[in-house]
Amino acid sequence: MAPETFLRVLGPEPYRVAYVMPSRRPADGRYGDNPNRLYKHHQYQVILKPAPADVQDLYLESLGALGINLADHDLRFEEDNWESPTLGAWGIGWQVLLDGLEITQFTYFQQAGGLDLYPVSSEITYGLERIGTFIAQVNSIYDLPWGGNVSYREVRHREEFEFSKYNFEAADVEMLFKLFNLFEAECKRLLKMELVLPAYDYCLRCSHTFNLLDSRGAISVTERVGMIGRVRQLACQVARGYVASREMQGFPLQGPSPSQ
Amino acid sequence: MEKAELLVELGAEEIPASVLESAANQFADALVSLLGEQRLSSGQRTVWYTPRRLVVGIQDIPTRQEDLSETITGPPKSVAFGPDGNPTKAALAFAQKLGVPLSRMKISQTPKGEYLTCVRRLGGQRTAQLLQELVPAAIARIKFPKTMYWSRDRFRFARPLRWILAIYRNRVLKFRIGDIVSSRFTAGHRFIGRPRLTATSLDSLREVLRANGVLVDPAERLKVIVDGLSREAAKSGGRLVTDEELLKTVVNLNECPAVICGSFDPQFLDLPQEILITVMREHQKYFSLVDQEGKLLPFFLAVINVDTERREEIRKGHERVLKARLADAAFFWRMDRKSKLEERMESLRNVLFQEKLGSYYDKTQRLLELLPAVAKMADSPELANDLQAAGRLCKCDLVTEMVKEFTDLQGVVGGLYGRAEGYPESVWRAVYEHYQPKSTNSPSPGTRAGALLALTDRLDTVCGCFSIGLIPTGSGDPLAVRRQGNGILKIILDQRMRVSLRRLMDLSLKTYMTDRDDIALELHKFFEGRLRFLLEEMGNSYDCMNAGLSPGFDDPLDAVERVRAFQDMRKAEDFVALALSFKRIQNILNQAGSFDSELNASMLSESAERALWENYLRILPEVQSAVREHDYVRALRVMASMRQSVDRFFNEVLVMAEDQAMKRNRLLLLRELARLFSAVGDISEIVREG
Repeated sequence: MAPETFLRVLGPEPYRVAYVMPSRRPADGRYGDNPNRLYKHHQYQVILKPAPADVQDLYLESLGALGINLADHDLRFEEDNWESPTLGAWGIGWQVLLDGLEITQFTYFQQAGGLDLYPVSSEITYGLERIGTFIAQVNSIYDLPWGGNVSYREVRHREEFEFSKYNFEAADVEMLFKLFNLFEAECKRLLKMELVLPAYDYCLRCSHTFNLLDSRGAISVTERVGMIGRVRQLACQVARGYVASREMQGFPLQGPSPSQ
Repeated sequence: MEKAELLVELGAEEIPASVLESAANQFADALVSLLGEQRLSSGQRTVWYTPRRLVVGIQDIPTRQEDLSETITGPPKSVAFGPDGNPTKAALAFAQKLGVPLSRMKISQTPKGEYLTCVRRLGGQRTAQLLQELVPAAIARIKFPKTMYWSRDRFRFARPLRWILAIYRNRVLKFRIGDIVSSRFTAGHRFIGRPRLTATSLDSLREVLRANGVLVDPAERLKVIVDGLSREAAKSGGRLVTDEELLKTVVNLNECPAVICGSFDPQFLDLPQEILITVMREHQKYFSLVDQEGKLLPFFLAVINVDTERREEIRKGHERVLKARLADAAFFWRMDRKSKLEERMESLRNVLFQEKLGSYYDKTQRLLELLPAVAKMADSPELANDLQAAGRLCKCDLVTEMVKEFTDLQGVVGGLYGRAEGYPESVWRAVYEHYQPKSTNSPSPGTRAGALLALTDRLDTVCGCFSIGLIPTGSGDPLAVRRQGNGILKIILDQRMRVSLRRLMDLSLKTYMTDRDDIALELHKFFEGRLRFLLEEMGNSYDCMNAGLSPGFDDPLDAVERVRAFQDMRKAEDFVALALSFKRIQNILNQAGSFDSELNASMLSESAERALWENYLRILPEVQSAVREHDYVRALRVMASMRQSVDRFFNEVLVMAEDQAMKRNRLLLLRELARLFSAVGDISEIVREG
């Protein structure tokens, strides 16, 4: 969870942001062989805080703006409640299915870093590759036109292959364990210095290192629960530290009269 | 009295399919109940729902409460008025207390004499006014398994509420809940309807929604879907695979359902049917079709949320998605079989079963230890070898890609991979079946080996959890221990196994190095709860359960046979009479206290008591043999045949005779009877019906 999402949903200050970010899930790597599954895919991440009353309509209009005429398609909101135990975060929402294809995760965050969120943010995560394949009507993600005359395959295929090899076979487990501990220690040190933003960076590095170790099959059953707990603890401390730091600054984005 | 219709529609963002029906009914229940509390009657109620709305209509609600009239009695006339006819302090105090002048009161004749009384009238309020409070209160009573908040006022609901239509007497019922104010506006289908519509009655709501792409009545949607499914099935030349649960789900996922038929590459039919059907139903909510021989056809039926002419693109979209999923499944099927199941045992060390109970590798070791003993206990020692083989394999599929992707297929996939590897049917089928029964309504394993493996696996889970204090409570049962317990009993009953629960539990607890009595006690209570639950589901009444379970339930099959016998005999007149007599006998014996003697038959002087004794001697061996054969109905029937002699005894014989020796002898006779009647269970628990 990028800082603009995880941190900005905390505390009382309103915020509206949209950005593209890559999402890496080592366990989903398929060496570039699977036409639908990637180790790394791209999301268009939108945070609207507080959640507007017409947020669903806004989302549907955005699909229209992409050229999708919803009256000619089978669109459904199906119950799916996102959660990230590592970051102490969860929400209530749906996966949006378009003619059977999941294209978006739509969530009203309820908690992050173990803290109750107020006001509630709506998070809309568009799966760009998915939407792309839907619009372009191609059978494989790799056939997507990236831009100009360049296909997705030409840009990303080699990367998928090499990173799958790394995640599943080549990653140096001992080094990763050491890194996990180093990242954790640095995060704690920075928190003590009240440098919350860099501290969160290191929390994310811990989380990603955990994912790498997990996809490598390197974490034993007893260790796994413990490690998740350690990352979670960092996330919760970051969350508290962030809110405290914003408070010290007087919650600058709040303005004289809170909107809505 | 004028009566009118109440109509309320709660408009929300898509509410989970599984909670819709319950929520709508809870809302209706709450309204009717709250109306009743206000002395307002209600007529026919209509409950409709779609993912985006809960609609309740209640007919014939009086527009006004009835005036309430009550008579309050004060002091007697003699106390209220003095000899001169003037009111006394008592009368004045009464008048003051009620706030009513004495002139408005009167003297009434009551059974106790003449009293000062006052009639008090409470004017009935207008229903419309009351509803402004009742409806929000009813909304607040709807309970969901999971709620959220979304707006400033932190009102909680399953999903954000966005509008409320509330009409009474064809006029808007205005109130506010959360950040929503009620109105006469509703919204049509998101894409093929208009967003702002009006309705002031139940019927007009249904019609305006229908004209805007919404079938608000779930019964109508069901019909459209069922008709569509059979039509498309017929067109394809195949037969629909019935799936009641999926049907219910899709009714609750759509506002404007339509059925489309798509196809997939026949080469995927090389994959086992179980996998194909699971892929289609679990992720995509598709229905499957089979040919006349029951083999899967390369088609699927999807229920979509829009009735449009332009289905081609939608169909292609669904086909593309299904193709990707089937390609995944085919990929897994190929890749998984590159390793043998057995080779995966080591990897089970990395799959956590439970934090304190270890990995699935550890679980497997425990199963291998338990299986031979369980097989022996179940009188199936010849299955020991098959069980060892199946036990080794049964958890290996947890580390296959197929099960990691389709967790519902655990066990099934293990069995299928086992079959592909050439294991004998007795072995792979046991693995295939060992997660059955999935619920108390679904079948338990069909083979004995499968049943024993399933039993042992669940036994290990239940005893393991109890051994670390993970006892299921009302609010928490994360490992579904209760369901596992149900499964254990269901398997024992379906297989007609005569086993001792205590011995099974001891076996399992030993593998956890536990022999604590308190744990055994908790398990005992737990299994009693599960057994009662199952018996109730089988339609047995509370008193029969108590009667049949009173001698214990260590042999669950035996316990169920007893309870069933009581349930069968419950209506028989003779039996009920006997139960009453037994209660009477018990009471007499309880009062008499204990005594140590032998019955002296020669001391039985009255003919009634001699007849009773002879009757008893005659039927005793028959009852005993019936009990030995677990034929409890026969035992009870034979006992009930004693009814006449028992009745006659109580009519003609004085148990508490003056003569102490005779009295003791009669008590001894009754004690023998009591023992006999207790042979099946505690008959005194049987209550008279009505």
